[in-house]
Amino acid sequence: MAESASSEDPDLNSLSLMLRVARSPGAWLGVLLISAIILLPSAAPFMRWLFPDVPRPVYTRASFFELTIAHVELTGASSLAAAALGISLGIFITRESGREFAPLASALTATAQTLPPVAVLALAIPSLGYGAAPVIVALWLYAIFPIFEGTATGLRAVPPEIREAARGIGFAPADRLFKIELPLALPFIFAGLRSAVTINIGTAAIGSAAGALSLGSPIIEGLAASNPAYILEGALVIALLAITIDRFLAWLEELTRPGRTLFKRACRASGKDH
Amino acid sequence: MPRVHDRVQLVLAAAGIAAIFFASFLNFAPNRLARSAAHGLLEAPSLQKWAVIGALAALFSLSLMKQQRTRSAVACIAAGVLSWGILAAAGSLAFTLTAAGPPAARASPGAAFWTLGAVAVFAIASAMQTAHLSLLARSVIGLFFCAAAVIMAAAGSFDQLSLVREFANISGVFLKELLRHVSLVGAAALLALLISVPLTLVVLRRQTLANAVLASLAILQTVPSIALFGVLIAPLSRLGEHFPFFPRIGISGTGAAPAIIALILYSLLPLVRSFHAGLSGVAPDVKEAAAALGFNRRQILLKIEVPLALPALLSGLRVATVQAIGLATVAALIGAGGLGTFIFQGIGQYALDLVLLGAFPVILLALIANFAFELLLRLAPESA
Amino acid sequence: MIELRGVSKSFGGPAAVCELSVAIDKGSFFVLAGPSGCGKTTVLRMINALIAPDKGEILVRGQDVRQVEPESLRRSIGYVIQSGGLFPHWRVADNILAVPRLLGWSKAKCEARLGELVALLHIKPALIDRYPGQLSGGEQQRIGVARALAADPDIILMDEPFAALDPVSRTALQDELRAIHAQTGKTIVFVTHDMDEALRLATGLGLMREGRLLQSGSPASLLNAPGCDFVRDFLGGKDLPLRQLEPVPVRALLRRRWTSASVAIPADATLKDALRMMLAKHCASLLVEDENGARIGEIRLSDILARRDQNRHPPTSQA
Repeated sequence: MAESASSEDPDLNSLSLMLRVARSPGAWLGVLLISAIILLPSAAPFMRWLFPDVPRPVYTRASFFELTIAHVELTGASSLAAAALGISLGIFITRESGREFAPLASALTATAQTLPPVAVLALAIPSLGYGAAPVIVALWLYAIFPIFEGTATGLRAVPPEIREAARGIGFAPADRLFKIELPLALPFIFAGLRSAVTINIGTAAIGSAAGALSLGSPIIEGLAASNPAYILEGALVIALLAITIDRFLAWLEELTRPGRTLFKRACRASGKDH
Repeated sequence: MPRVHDRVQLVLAAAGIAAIFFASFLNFAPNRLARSAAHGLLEAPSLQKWAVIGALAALFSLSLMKQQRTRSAVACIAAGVLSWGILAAAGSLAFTLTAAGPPAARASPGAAFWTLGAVAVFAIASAMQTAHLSLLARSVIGLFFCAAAVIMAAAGSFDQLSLVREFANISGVFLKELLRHVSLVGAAALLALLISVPLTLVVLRRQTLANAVLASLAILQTVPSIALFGVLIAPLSRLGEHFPFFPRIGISGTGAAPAIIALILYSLLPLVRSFHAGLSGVAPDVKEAAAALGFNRRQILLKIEVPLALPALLSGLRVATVQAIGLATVAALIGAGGLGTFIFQGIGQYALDLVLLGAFPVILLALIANFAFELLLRLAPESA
Repeated sequence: MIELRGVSKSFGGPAAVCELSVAIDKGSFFVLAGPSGCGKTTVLRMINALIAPDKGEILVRGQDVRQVEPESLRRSIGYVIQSGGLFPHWRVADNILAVPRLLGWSKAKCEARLGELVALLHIKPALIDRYPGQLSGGEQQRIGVARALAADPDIILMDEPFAALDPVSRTALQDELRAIHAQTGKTIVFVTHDMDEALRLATGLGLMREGRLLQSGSPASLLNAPGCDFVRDFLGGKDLPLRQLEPVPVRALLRRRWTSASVAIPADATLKDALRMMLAKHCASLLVEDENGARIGEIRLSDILARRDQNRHPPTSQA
């Protein structure tokens, strides 16, 4: 009587899945990004044509692949660490034990969101020195707030009747949190994560000024040496990276809405329009 | 075990006490490049030292007080005493140490100082929140604290801190770059406003066009600022090469032009999005009533919808301005000037106090701008 | 089965529940009725330990609820709330099987139980894989009831489950619930402010006001002997005479003899239905049929009136 939806569901059919991916702009951007990374080293003639006066048209201190990986590491490490703390704090503040800290937390978050990310990076340097470490710490600190706010908002948005029903039918508090409340809060958490990651990608680029290796390195070196080719190359790759990751996270956010994409699948499977 | 009434203040006080014992209050180095030695709060003169300790003790015992009003009042006073204490202690300790040390010595506040400062700020914020003080009351208290700090600074209590000495070095340039920063932000905000208002009105009735515009602006928003600045340099310098008219009026590859253009582009999304939301949010019955009275479409738009959507536009302007203050800091990298010059110069020259002299004003500017807009929004009439 | 002894609860102001004592028998359909704010929901939520009483004891299956681990108590009691409380991110099937899965039932057992519930509650099989957001209010409440029944608990608590539904869905679900109760013999505690609903469903009825239990007993005993003016007014006031006819089936006043009456009425209809039909068809007697349509006798207006007189001066012993 209760069929598992996966067996006959046409949407999990690999062909239609591929078609759906092919239609999304995010996928195309990702392809563009990867091609840029691969093709840039050989783009010297093109760069020479664009900027005839520049002696070294293509950035060679490190390959764009290395730069991208370094950049993703900076952003990824800080964002994951920020997610760990931000989500835990968001959970804490919505539980009975943490309710007291909620007003202070919201005042703090509001203030933290007004601070320019560059300034936070700048504050980290006198305290922690140069290199990748202060950049990661600054990125981590800045990213905690949007993720925390997303988690807190998402958990508060769970309708009280659902929490009540879960408690009434016998879910233990931990079960309730992980099986009911967090899954329903997931879109909000992803929204916060997306905001944090997008800002961090930009700030990590500026971190090159403090000696961290990232996609901002060609741009900053280009600015110092008046080499517009470097600037353009760095800018192109980082812009593509930022947009691709943003689209990807937006897609993930949509997926986590209760029954959204799955809503459409279920409708198609049952042959009815809703 | 007495009942704890305010765990927030308890935690803050504990953090403050831990900071005194485990972190450095003042860092003292014989010159800019040498390692600094840590000096604790306990080395400071008695009055200030005991003021700090007393204030922390008061915060700690706050949790035992039953009346909420007393708690908030005591918290505010304790935080005030704490702030005065750490500022005065830092100032006089710096004075003592530099008097005895070499001329190039640096005295800068350490982790304990910043932690205690944070404790004071959070204690007041928490007290104001729980007492549900009005915006006016909070502003008055905030102003009082700022005024007290300014008076102390003017009286010279902080003169031996390396930060202040560095500021003395650059004070001439500081004002110039500050004004430059403000004018960059102001020009960009104004121009963005002039573009976004008509743009929103044009796409208002056409939903698909509006969606397309908002989507493209959103994509633009995700492009890192340094990339956008960088991308604008080449075309603008080309433009300057081929058409000498432009450099003459100040538009060239480096300098303010690419910065302002990028800032305008970044400001468009918050402005268009909020203005559009404000216009769409005007209740249909209001528009219907106006139509029934005989207003034509254009009059309804200009006399009814736009005024009702102004608070939303103001809110978008707030977001755009605060964002622009931060972005203009990055613009220093492409030669546009502004407070960012101190930050990046400081990073390049390993002059860390210079970095702070750039970062703190930027933060203050952002907070002041945010606060000013918030005030304006409260004063604006309610929209439909 | 369920017993409350001297239970009191206050939420910082006047008492929400005051010295309430009631015993609910095993297998009964006990309805707790009363105006909004009288404390009936609070009483219900104390039975499955969602709220702890300030004073008094609550015994479920002979055990004080405070001695039992709350989660295991709640897993053994079904719970339906007004807005359904279905989990929007789980499909209908997963919602229904929530408690069995918490209890660790095997997949096969779960599937089998799902099939039983779909049949029992007449759930359209197409809905099983849908999400609650795609269902109508009536369908959602049906799923809510299924979820409460899933682990086959012997006690079900229902807090105004049909209040938000349109009258048609409400009547349909009430009938089904009555049928399920008759079929399964579970103990049901049902809270409502709707007197019609209470009288349709209850085998035991308790009337509350401002935290106190005013009267409890069988519906007939309350109808025939309301303890005070408030009870009388809540039960229908001026319509009380008509209400009193409701619990009584036509069968009770059946005269097994041949009749010339031409208008027919089923034996399981209520006296109120009979009265209504007599008024509509301008006749003083009706032909009574059984469930197969065979004529078994007649019912007369004079008998209904005679019963009314009996009610007005009831004999001293009442159920």
